[in-house]
Amino acid sequence: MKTYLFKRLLSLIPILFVVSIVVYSIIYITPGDPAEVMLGDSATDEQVEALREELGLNQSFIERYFTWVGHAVTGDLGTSYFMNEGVTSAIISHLFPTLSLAILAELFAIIIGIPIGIFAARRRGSYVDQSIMGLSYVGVAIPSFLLALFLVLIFSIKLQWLPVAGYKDLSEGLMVHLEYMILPAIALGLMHVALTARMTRSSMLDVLNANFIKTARAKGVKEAVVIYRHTFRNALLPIITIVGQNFGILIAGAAVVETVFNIPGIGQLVVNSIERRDFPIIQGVILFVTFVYVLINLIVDLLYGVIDPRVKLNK
Amino acid sequence: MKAKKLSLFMAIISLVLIIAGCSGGGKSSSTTTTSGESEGGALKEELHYASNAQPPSLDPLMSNAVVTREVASIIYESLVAFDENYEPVPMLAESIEQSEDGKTYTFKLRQGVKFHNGKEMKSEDVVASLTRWAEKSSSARAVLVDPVFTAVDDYTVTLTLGQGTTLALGAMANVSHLAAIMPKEIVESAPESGVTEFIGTGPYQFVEWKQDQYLKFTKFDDYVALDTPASGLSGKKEALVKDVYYDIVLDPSTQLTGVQTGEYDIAGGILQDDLAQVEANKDLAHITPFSMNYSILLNRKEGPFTSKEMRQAVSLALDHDSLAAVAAVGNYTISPSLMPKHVEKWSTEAGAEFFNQKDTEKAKSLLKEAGYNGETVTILTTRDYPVMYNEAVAMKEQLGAIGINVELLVYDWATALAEVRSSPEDWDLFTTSFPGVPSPAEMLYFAEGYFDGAESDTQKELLAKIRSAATHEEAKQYWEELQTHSIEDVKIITTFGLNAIHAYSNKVEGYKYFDVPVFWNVKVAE
Repeated sequence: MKTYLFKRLLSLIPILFVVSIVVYSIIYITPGDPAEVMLGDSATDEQVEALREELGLNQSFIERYFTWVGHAVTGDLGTSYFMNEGVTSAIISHLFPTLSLAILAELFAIIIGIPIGIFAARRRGSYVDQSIMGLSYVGVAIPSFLLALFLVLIFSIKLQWLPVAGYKDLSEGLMVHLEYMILPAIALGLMHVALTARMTRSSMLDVLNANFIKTARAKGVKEAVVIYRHTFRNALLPIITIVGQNFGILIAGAAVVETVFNIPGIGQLVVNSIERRDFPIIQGVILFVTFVYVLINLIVDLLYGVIDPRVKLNK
Repeated sequence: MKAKKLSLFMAIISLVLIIAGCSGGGKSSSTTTTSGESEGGALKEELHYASNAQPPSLDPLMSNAVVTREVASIIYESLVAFDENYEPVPMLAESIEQSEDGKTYTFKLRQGVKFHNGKEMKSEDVVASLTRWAEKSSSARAVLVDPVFTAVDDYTVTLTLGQGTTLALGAMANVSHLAAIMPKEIVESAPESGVTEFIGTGPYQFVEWKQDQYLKFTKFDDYVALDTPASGLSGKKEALVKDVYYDIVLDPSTQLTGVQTGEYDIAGGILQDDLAQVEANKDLAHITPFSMNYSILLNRKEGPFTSKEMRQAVSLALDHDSLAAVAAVGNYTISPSLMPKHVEKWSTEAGAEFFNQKDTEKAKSLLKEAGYNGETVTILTTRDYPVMYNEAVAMKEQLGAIGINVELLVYDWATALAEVRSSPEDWDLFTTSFPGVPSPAEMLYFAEGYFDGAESDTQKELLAKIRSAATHEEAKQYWEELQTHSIEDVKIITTFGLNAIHAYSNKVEGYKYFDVPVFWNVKVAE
């Protein structure tokens, strides 16, 4: 187990290295110059040049990349061009809203998706099953920004229950925080409700057809025990995989919802940074999101071993 | 059994929704006041203004972005400010004397004016601030020849110029690259990327900048207001709301819904298409101040538009009315005046005979004369500003009708800006916009070395005459000549002037817009 963990962590290094080179190269060839964006169209060439020099934009690609990597390995991801702030601290300050949003969306997906999936599996082929699965197609297909606008129209404008947009930190109280997060979380999470429900259904069906379930039923085990103890537990692996993957996707995909609801998360941070060509932030955030994504996959793999002792990880 | 569990789950979800919904209670809580200083008058202590952009910098000399000037004018003041007729009048100066030849200006400073850090403003601060301004501001560069600021004593500053001009005070009152007075230490320690502390003398002081969220300003208790009536950006300024929040709300539909539900008191970025919706809402008021002259810049460095006939052909072919109708919906002005019409001092119809002619026949014959052979003409534009993009699409259609082969090159704004400056081979026409300036000499596109290329001798000569004219009347005559020349020679095509839409709650009293949103003398009822 320990060796496995160590190996997996070690394999992170080449991944992050490759991602950093790719991101750096893309940024390097992207047109648009932070100095010009900052100064606007009234600046003289000399003013632009002086600022480029100060920001280190006049160095060669190799020079810039290695200076950056040199700092990055010590944990220093550089300083934003636009904010009076380091990249690491900018990521940290923008991380909580995204995490909160992703966790709420994920909870929404689990709390609604899994019971619906089980429900549909139990009534396989019935009208209920067919309508749930039909609706889940709709759930997957609705773009989150459209759903967001729709939710705002009903809950904020018509009913005036919830705020249109904005963000309040958890420090201002859980209820106030939730009030601002609930619509974005639903907008972000609906697609994942559908995905989780579909995965739960098909995974449950696989197990329900297994011999040991038939045996259990033949022995007269109560239906509830068959479903929740025997079937669900055995169907959990693929469900956990999709929940884990969802979480990574939720973090990376929060940008749209964050923009619509004006939530200062890392998604919005990266979108805004691209617009203003704030290169250090873009690099930092992408590297960070990659790291989180890989880390979540690792956690999911570790959970396999916990849930199903037959899965051995130390190979 | 499972039905029971499912209903339990559903019950939990509904409960969460209901609790969240109830505590939202009608109006959003974000604008509700907490303390009761002004409870008796039932006024709010917070004002929320929704802006559609975040400033690239809070240093007014680092950027000519509209947002930067908006936030800078909350924090900072200058020696002079415009009254509502665009006349520069004293603000931090007590009095101003001008020598006969217009080469020397003497400013007596108001005594007892305090910076937000508690220090009193003295002439050394003014000299340091204005010396940096003279170097960095495009207005200063455009109108002042060899400016030197000197401290005579603690409360007297002189400006001496290499050449006399009547335009100096106007440039000093310009909100773009504001001639902000800051403490000397802050100016002197500023790196190339701008000052790092934001200390001015205005009625509101800077408190906090939450990146991509909001900027917060709070009432400056030691502010000493003038007792002259408020006019334009001059006169008496009173902070009637304790905290001003400059909320950054990039999505225009969020701005509109937010001002409808009371999340924001004022929304400055309402889309043209949404004007009808604002007008239909009885809880909202709105103003439509002039915002920008939408213009087409022609590349005279290289490509087809180095030829005057080609430029004129484009100008003749364009139908400004339909361009504006497509791009600006119903909220625009069409005028040959390159200075916005409300700046009456300079606005003129000179050159109208060359403007908005829609003469496609003549345009076609000019194309022939210029030897145009169907080469591709590239319009560089951006979707970041929908007005520009829509204008470019309509223009493609109109130019296509006279046989010009047009291609759109669509980039995000940052890329477009870089292309215009550094790749003249890639573009021929560029959709852009220009805010008002105090005098024609300060128009960006008349600046030497501007990206569109060579300036004509006539232009150079007339600009010099405008700068050095002894009286405004004389300067205006030269300006009329220059405007006529610019339209005839197609230096630039100003397609239409766009009016922005600021929607605000009926509870807001005294809000106005004068080159920037004005937050002082504004009350918000509970």
